[in-house]
Amino acid sequence: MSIALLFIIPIVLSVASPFGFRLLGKNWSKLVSFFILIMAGLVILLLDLASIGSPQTLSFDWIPRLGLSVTLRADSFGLFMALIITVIGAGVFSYTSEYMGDDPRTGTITGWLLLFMASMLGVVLADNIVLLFVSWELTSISSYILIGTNNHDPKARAGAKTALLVTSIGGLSLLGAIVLLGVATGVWNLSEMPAIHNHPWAASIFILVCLAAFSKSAQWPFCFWLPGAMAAPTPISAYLHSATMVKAGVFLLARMHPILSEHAAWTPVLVFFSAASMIVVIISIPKATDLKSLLAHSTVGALALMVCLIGIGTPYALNAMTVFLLAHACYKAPLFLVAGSIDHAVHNRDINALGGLAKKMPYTMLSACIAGISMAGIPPMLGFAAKEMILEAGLSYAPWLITLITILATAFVMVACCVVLIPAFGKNSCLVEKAHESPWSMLAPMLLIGIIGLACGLRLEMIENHLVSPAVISLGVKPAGLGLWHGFTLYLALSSLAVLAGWLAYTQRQALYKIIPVLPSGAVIHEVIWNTVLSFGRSLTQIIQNGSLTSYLGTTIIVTCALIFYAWVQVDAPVRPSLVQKITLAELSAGLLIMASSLATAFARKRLPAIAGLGAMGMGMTLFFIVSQAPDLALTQFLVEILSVVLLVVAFRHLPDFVGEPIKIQSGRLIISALTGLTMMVLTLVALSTEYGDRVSLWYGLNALRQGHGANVVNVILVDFRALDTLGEITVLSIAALGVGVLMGGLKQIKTKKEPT
Amino acid sequence: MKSSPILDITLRWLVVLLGIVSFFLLLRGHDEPGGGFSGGLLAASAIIITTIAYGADAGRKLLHFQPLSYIAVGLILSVLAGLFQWDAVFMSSIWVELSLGFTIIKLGTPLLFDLGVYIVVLGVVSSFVLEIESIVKIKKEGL
Repeated sequence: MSIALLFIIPIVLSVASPFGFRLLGKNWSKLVSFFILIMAGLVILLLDLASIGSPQTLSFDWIPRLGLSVTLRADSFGLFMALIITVIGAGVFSYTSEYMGDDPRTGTITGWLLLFMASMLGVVLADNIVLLFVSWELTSISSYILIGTNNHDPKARAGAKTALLVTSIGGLSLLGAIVLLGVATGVWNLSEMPAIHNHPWAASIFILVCLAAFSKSAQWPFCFWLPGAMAAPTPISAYLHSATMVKAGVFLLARMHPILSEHAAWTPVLVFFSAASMIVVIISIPKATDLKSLLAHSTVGALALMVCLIGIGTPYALNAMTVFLLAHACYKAPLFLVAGSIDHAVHNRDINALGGLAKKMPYTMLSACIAGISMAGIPPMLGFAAKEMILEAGLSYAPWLITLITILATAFVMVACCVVLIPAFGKNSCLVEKAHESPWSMLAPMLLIGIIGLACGLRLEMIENHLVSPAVISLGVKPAGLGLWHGFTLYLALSSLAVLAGWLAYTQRQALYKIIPVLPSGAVIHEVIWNTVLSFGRSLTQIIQNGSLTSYLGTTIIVTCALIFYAWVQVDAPVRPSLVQKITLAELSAGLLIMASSLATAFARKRLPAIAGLGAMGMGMTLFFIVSQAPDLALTQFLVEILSVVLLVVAFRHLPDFVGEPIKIQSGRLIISALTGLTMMVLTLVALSTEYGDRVSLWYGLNALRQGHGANVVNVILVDFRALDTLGEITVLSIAALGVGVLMGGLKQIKTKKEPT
Repeated sequence: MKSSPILDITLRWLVVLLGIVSFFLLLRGHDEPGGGFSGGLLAASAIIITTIAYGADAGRKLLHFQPLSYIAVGLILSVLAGLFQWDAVFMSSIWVELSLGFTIIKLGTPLLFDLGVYIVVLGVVSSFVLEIESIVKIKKEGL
């Protein structure tokens, strides 16, 4: 049951969030943080269960008719991710309480963050792949809304839109991938899925999985959305766009590793795309001046390293990936929080304007240092152990180009790390006066998460036994030993080389700016595609919706007539005059009334007679209903006709009349009218010539009183037998009323705007 | 708009009459011609007459609540009527017969449903006429 609690707690808190914030103010987020810590404790309990080989599962039917069920399985790798999600989540919620302060949007932001957390836990703990897909899409949507928190800022809106578009490409691909996977294997649970690399669909599944993972984890060519997403408030960037959501793609690839990794394309494709992403990072890092976008670029680099390691796919590489994933979460989240604190204190994130803040914000800068050292990969941090393992895994795979790029990427991550520390130790800037230390609820998360990274580095054997090894085993791979100190090896030499190169690049970065070429970035290409699609849509709209009511009506009528004639020819329904009843005198007079009034409407020279003609036509219809002994229909038709005449008069009485214009008979319209009349005539004759079984009306007649408790069969049909149809109709009516309101509101705005000029 | 005493008095009675008759149509609808739809139309015609005679503000005043609130309440009533029988299919009906001695009153969820239809139709048609009337007013003042 405890696995269900991991979802129930955040969802309940999320729904309660707007009210909770109104009640408790900023303490609400602290309370939430406390609950999330309890969840983290739960995850640790579950981890214990999973590591002795009995992962907890939970399964219940969702849509039994489709064979869909919600199946959760708390295996070690999923719980490893869940632990990161909950621990960093707890920190982020505590941080949010002071960062957002009394901002009225905090309630809803906390709610969305909690919903995101639940869906992210869904991604990592789902066993059923359909559930995985649904949770995956939920994370995309909550990310979209959270990036667009400052919705008055066009940059935030653009960033949110780009992120949604790119990640939804991935979402669609994932849908395709899981459907193919499920059909190919006949199994919908990840834990039971066999390896399918020999299946003819394996290649298409692999391509779709790659699209999904690359777009979610911001790999080339989709890497441009992540820096744009930095428009979100910093706690959101720290949580979604560095520690958790962007790792979903890496997570997916790791989950697919046992299923697809034997495929020939696995290693080359993953390594190629991750190398491309690293090159993009190398190019963009020296140019970034915004603290957060700098961190975002280095996140892309870190994710690329993880994808590369999964691509290499040896047990050692997967071990390295797991350790690095943990290390990255432990240093990147605090660094983002530090950036947020600086922004919060001095309202500036430009590294050229910041400096000398260490005196005013000692604890913030202390956590920046702890996290930064881990990021740079300097002992004794977890980051160091991770980097050693990455280099070893890369070298064992051994194409020298990859190794070179990896070293370069680590070097540039080192540059990023140095640059991040500028605000602390750089030259004093004018902003120092304004700076102030953040409150403890903001400091504690960044310090503590950073210290966790340090503690993990110092107690490697502990996290190896309890976290990394079980996680790796549940990926189907043998654990490799972790060690902080391997002796003086080639990897240590390479690692030191990377640190040195990074330091050098940092000191010479002005020169580097000039050398690095300007490449068309993905964002520009995205913009071009987006604009092309929009202008295509616009030109299509201009053709189809040209604003002329006449052409709409003409098109609708012609298409309807053509369809009816086509159907008539297809079913070959003969007109049998013998079945058509004799016309009575009453029917004839009603028909004459309709014909006369329609002619009068068509040839009317003023609006009022035209409206009256329409009304008379309706009265003719009412007469028909009376003659056919349908009082209910007649009553309703009568009322509708009167009201529509009145409404039309109300609307048209103030419009200028079209007096004086002689009535011209336009041949095109005449043909359309004649065609309509002909079609309706044929339709009526065919309908009258068909012999119907009268069982339906007989049934209604018999059962109206018996089952519907009413003598008026029409009414019983409307409110009981076919009440759902009526409900649909009144819903349509309500929508029509809303539409009229919106249209008229628009007209009012135009009028009132015109008035002053 | 100039008010004429004849229109004034006629209208006062007509509005009451229309209201009563429309409700009568709604109630008898299950056994005889009538029902929520035609009843709602008749009720709305009271609003329309008032609006034409005295303008949109008078119509709004007679309606008392926003037309959209009517629509919302009506839709909710209709949906609720379908939910009464919890364990059966949506829109399953329940009937209760109340014996008052001199007559028997049949009460059932379809009646509640029809009441919802009545209120929706009243709200929709009133919103049409009020919206159109207010735009005409703005136009007259603007030109």
